[in-house]
Amino acid sequence: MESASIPVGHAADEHEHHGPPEYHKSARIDQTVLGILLFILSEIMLFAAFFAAYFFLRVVASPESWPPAGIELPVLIAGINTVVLVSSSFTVHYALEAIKHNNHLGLKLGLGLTWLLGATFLFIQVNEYIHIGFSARDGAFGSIFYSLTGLHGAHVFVGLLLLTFANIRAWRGHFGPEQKNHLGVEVPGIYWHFVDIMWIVVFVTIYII
Amino acid sequence: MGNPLKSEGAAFRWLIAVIAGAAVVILATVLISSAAGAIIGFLMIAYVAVVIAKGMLHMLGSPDEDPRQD
Repeated sequence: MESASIPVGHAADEHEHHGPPEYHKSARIDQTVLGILLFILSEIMLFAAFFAAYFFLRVVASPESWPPAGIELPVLIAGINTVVLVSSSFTVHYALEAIKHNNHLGLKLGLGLTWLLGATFLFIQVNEYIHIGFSARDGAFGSIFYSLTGLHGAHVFVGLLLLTFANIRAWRGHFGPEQKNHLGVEVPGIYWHFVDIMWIVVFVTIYII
Repeated sequence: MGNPLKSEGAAFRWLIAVIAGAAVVILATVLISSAAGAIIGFLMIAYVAVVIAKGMLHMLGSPDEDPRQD
C-alpha cells in the first residue's frame, strides 16, 4: 500500500536547477500538486455548500417527517451501489501498484475493472432515479436529494472520462514503473478516491442519517 | 496519515479511514439515533479538517521562509 509520492517542491527538479526557485513558483510545492490541491479544495467547498443546504432544510423541516411521508429511499440498492463504487477504488489502487511492479496486464485489468465499476454505479443510479417515485420538483427533499446525488454523479462521470483516457494510454503502453511515467494513473486515482470518499459521505447523510 | 494529495496511496489510506468512520456513524445512527450519528459525523469531519489544514499549511509553507525574500 505504501507508494512513492508525487514530487513536491524543489526535490523534483534538483538535477536541473540549483539555488532558489524561479519567481512565481513555490519553493515548497510543485505547481502540478498545487493545482490538484486547489481543485480538490474547491470541490470540497462546493460539496460543503450542498451539505449545508441539506442540513438547513432538514432542520427547518420537522425531523420526524424527513424524508417526507410517502417517500421511501432504496437504502439496500444504494448500499450495493456504495459497495460497487468503493470496490472501484481498490481496483484503481491495484492498477497503480501493478504498474509500479512493471505489470502491464495488471494495470490494464485494474483500470478496465475500475471503469466498469464506475459505469455500473452510474447505471444503477440512473435506474434509481427512474424508479424512485419522486422528482426534483417534489418539495425541498426532492430538490436536495437530486442536487446532492446528481452533483456526485457528475463527478463520477468526469472521473470516468479521466479513466477512459488512462485506459487508452495503458493499452498504448504509455505507462511505466518509474514515478514520472505513471502520473497519468496516479492523478486520476487520487481524484477517484476523492469521488468515492464524497459518495460515502453523501450515502451516510442521505440514506442512513 | 499525512496529506491525502501526496500520492494515490495516501488518498487510498484516507479512503479506508473514511470507510471506518462511516461504519461508526452508521452504527451510532442505528443503535442510538440520527442525531447521535450526525453529531459523531460532524466531530469526525471537524477533526479531519483540522488535520488536513495543518498538513496543507506545512506543505505550502510561510512567505517568511522563502529564500527569495529581501
